[in-house]
Amino acid sequence: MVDQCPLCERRKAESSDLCEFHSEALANLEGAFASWRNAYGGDYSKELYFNELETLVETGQAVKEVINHLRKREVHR
Amino acid sequence: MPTTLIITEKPDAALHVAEALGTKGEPKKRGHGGVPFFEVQGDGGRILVCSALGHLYAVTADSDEKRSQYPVWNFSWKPKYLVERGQARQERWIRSISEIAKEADRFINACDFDIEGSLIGYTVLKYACNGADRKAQRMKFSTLTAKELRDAYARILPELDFSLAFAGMCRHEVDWLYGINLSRALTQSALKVSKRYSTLSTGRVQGPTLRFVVEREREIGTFVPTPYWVLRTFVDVNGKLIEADYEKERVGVKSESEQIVEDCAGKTGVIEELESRTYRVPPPTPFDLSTLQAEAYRHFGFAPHVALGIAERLYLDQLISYPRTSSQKLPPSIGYQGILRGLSQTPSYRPPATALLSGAIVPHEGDKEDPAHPAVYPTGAAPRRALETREQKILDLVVRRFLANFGQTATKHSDKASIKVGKHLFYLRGSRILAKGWIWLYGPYAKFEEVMLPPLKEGQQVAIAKIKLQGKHTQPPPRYNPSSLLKKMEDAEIGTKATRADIIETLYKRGYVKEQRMIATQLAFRVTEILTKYCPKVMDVTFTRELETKMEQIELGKQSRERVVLETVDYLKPIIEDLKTKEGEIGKELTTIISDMFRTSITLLVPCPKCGQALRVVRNPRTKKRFIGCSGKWKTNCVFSLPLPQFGTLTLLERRCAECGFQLIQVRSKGRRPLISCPVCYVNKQRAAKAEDVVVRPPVTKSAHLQT
Repeated sequence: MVDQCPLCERRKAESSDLCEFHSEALANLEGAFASWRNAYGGDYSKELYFNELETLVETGQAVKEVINHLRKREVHR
Repeated sequence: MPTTLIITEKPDAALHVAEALGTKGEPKKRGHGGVPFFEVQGDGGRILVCSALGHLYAVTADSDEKRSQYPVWNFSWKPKYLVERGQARQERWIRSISEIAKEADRFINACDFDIEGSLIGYTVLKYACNGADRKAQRMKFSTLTAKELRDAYARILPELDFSLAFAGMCRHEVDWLYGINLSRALTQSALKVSKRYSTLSTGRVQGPTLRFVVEREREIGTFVPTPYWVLRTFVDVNGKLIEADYEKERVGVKSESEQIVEDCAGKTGVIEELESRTYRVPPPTPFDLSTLQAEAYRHFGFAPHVALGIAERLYLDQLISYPRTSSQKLPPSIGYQGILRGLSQTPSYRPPATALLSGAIVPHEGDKEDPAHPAVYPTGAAPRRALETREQKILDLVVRRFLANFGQTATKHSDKASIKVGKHLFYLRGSRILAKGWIWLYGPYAKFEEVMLPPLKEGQQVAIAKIKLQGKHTQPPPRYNPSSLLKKMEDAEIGTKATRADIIETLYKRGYVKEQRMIATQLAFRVTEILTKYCPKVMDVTFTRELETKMEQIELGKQSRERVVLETVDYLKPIIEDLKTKEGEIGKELTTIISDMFRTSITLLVPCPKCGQALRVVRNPRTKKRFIGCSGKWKTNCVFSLPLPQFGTLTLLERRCAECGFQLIQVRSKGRRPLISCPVCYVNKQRAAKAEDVVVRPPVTKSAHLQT
């Protein structure tokens, strides 16, 4: 289905590739990067950020799914 | 001879009322059609005391349409045995009460004095006693002690508390209108598309409550932790190591935190300032139901509905006052001295009770009031039977809390020393109890950790003996547990003290939540999303609260029941009609999730240890017994199986057994604590016991319902 979120059964949210739930996870993921960069210094990469989040039990399941999705999309490109 | 018929809510209460009001000898137990009632001589005539069995009448659709039919707007009150399955006992009960009523010329409602009790008595008197509600009187009491029952009879209210009963009727009718229409809309939509029947329910209070859990799950699912560092510092004071706090609780930049360690490690600091403070800690307020449930969960892990059930049994045993109360007040009329004297007969309560009796007895009350009942308090009576462990725990908690309510204010002292190390500041903190006051009376339920600091003076030099960094991450909000969810409902002012615990239990039964730390399932997400999308107001806490207010106004006689019900119908009609036109759309959104739920509810996460195929919960077609079987039976001829408890609602947990790593199962049976066990370890234990020729009982005892 074209209008289905690629990560779950839900419909895509307006002006997003993901559903509302995963869009919120993506927004949180993007928003928190600034805090991580501030914590570890300006050269802290997104790759390190994703790796670290994937190992943490505190990271929400939807966030981990979004990271996986972003990685796959990157490979396709 | 004049004959009075008194209706109580439960059989135990009937016996206590008969014992209290009889003036000549013991109550005579009689029966009619297998229904027991008591007869005593008193008040210049004959008194018959008969109990209801909770609600004997219920709201139902007026017409005989199919159970799947909706919308339904016309309803009436009918005997419960005509409305629900398995209520044959109620039929006998109603017939017998009707017969007994023929002997009476005076009627009294002595059911619990609250909305539900008033409604139970009102419906029985109106429908089973040929309209006796018009001439009936009302007894009002908060404990089932003989003294209070006699007082209540002497000060009998001349007529029924109609406003309370009508408020109860209205609540049942409005909830029925919501529940029947919305639940049928969901269930039928799912059935239409998936062809698989699955009971999906929602309601006026259930919907917003589920939304709390789903929103929390959403916050947890989309949570991104951020790093921070804390400094664990130990200061050497006269050869003793004491932990100190850094001026900032957390440092958000790694390089900054490393710099602090470099600046302070091995350095000597100076005590710049010493502060001390003495403050008073007042006794806790008396127990209203919610606080009792919260404390029972905190100290014993009892779910709210379990704590309520136990408290109600203690009330029927004349050991505590009526537990369904919102009050935090203990009026002098309950007789403080008499209760304390009663408690002093129990050896473990003698010292505190005697100490309180020797001084002025004034309780420390809270703000909350309940016009019907005082706060929960012990009657001071000794148990007439051996109490179960859980009952003993709740009774002890109620007694200790009551004693603590009368205690002196406790006095605590805190010390704080500020230590300057270069440009950095650390704090040493200590606290101790100066006067125990009520803390002694509350016993094991008052926990204070004392930290003693050694003598310190300003200008004293102290060495930083150890300082190390600890990297941490911010935490997602905690999941609700039954107790914290109940508190949330109370704060949001939805539901009543009588209904909240049952609504939480329904969330488990419907498969919307699982585990003690409540995890919202995908079904919960989908149902909440659908209702929020198609009828947002139904899920709106504000709207539900407004309805609660209207019903409270009925209690106060400021609003009519008919008007509130009509407004509800007017409001719901367009919503339900709209849902009906979107059945296909809603069904599509539900169908995948229902199939997934069904599959995951019977498929274990661990594979078969013999052949690696999936393990499933299956039933023997002949005996109907459930067990874990290997799905590879037809492919690999694998016959691996494990036994399961046969009674109670079974849930496959995500947790693994600490001993063998197999997936744990949970069984929930009505009125019992959820039982978590490992099927593999159970079999191993059984085999070991067989080898030793010892009988091992199955993990779960027989219960009322059987579900997979």
